[in-house]
Amino acid sequence: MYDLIIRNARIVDGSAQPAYHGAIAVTDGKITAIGTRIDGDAREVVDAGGLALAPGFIDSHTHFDAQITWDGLATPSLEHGVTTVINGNCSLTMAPVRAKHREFVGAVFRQIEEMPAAAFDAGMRWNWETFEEYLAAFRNDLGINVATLAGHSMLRLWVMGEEARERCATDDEIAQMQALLRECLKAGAIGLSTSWVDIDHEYRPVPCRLAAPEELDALCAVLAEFGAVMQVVPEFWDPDLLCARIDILGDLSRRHDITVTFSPLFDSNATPDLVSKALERVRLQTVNGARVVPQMQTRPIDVTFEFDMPSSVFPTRPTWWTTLLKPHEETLADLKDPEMRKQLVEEAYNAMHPIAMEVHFPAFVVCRCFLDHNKPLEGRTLADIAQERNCDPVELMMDLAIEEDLKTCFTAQSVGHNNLERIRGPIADPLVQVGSGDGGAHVARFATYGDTGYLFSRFVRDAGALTLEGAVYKLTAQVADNWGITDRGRLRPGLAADLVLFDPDTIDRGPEIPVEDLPAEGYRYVRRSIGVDKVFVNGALAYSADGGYAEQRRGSIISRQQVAA
Amino acid sequence: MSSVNTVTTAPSIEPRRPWVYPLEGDTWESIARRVFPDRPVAEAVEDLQSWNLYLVFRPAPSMMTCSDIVFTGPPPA
Repeated sequence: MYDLIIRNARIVDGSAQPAYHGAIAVTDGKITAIGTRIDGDAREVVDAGGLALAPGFIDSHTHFDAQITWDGLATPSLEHGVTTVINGNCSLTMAPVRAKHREFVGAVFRQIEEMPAAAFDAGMRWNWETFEEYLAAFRNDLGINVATLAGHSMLRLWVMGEEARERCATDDEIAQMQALLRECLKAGAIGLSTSWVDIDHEYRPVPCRLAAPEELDALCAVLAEFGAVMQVVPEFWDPDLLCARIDILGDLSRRHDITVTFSPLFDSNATPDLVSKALERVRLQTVNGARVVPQMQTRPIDVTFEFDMPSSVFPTRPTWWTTLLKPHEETLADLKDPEMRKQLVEEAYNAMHPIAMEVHFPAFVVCRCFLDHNKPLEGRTLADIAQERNCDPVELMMDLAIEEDLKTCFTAQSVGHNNLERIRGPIADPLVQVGSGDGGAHVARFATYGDTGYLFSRFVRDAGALTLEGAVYKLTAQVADNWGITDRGRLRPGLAADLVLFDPDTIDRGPEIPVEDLPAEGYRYVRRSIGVDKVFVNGALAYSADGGYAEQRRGSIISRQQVAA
Repeated sequence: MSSVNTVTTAPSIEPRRPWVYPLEGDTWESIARRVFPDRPVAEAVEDLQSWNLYLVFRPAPSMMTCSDIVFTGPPPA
């Protein structure tokens, strides 16, 4: 007697081999049989109705580190078919963190990951210091599987205190970091994350950027003891810098026989040859024995912002940046001042684009209004509304913001990574992994969910860049192999029964919508799933299109020890 | 500087463009003296800065760090 049989399914098993019509059986959370026909009974039988049945998707670049402590489902990732999230990217983790550093770490996380402060503060219990204590804080509440990297910046902060932000480490401090990383890996970390680009809330380099190359090399030596992975954020906008970083990663991979992965591999009109140059370098490193895995996201970049703080569309516009950094009343005063308005309009039209983006103010979309009479403007571009009102789009944007006390939300849509002709080849490249989605981050700025559905709608159905089987492989077995996750990622007897049942003809991401579901009544932007019928985590139904999220929680911590077993 | 593990700054595969890591406390002048010992310092600094505008224009309080890349030659043609 099986626990579960799913019959009448189009089996897409993660291997990239052709799909076939068949069934799968599950017992004790694991796949026990799979084939064109399965005899026998089960406590629960599901008729898939011909839908595709695939391994649960693995999202390799997320930042649910804080959210997972109050939301064990990592909503809404699960409803998009994601059954495993990899947290702790970009050197930022919630452990190991000493109590005295919580305020600093929280400030850095909120700055880089754009998490509303009130929601973060209300949601975080901070009843841990070590990595082991952190995992224990949410281990029993998981409805989704979670793998977590140990953050290099946190290792430095733990060992060096405030000086982690100021200087290179001594030999003794590096040895302490090695011991601490070893402790994290033993406790369940899946690898190490670091960054060569991130800045903190005070616009200073995050601690890991103060590391001399010897320090990173020493930490990679520890990763090698566990066969663990390193993730890094390189200067993704500059071809020469990125290629030099790929060489560094290649050397670390060869020297220590580890897999290193960088994110994002990002296309923009500012550097249209960057992706091809980077891939050429990755290929060279690969044929020379390195394992350097670029992660490419599927979606174009949208940035949603209000006027209460500067966002990533403004850094090359100093007048805007300065104005939006001011206290609320002073920002309002600037926006009303005729001379300042002239400067802001001038700078809106005549400035360099920010890194890796193309920003055109008239194309901004009014995303969210708070006054009833402005609601009809939602979803329209500034250019469209301005033409109707015979005014300047930038003046219109400022007037709307003033009228709504700076609450109006605007969206700069598709400002980067939006050239399908340039992306379709690389995203299908065997060396490129789908990732960099950033789930759980930038929550008040744009939705970081649904990249999985978008892979199918955009790159399988619209562009024909990938087959259904190839896309499933990109989201499952390839990620599992790269990250050393040996017990999931394929439909094979003995592996965990993480399963997603979906309609290949309709699976997609829904529109970006604001929801008020964060602690302290905070809001964020999400996308609901389309075409995902059922999601099973370790053999148990976790989500269904009909019933929503299930009560039962069968998620687990994915650790190096577990995957090595 | 640590000696826990010795890391060469030169990648094992010929780089597309030559570069070095800064050492702790480095300035443009100290890098210029180390990388171009036979050239006038001011001239070498000028070249280094022109090849590394991303560091020159990095806004304060960010600074050059030991994990940064400093190009020591022009972009490939």
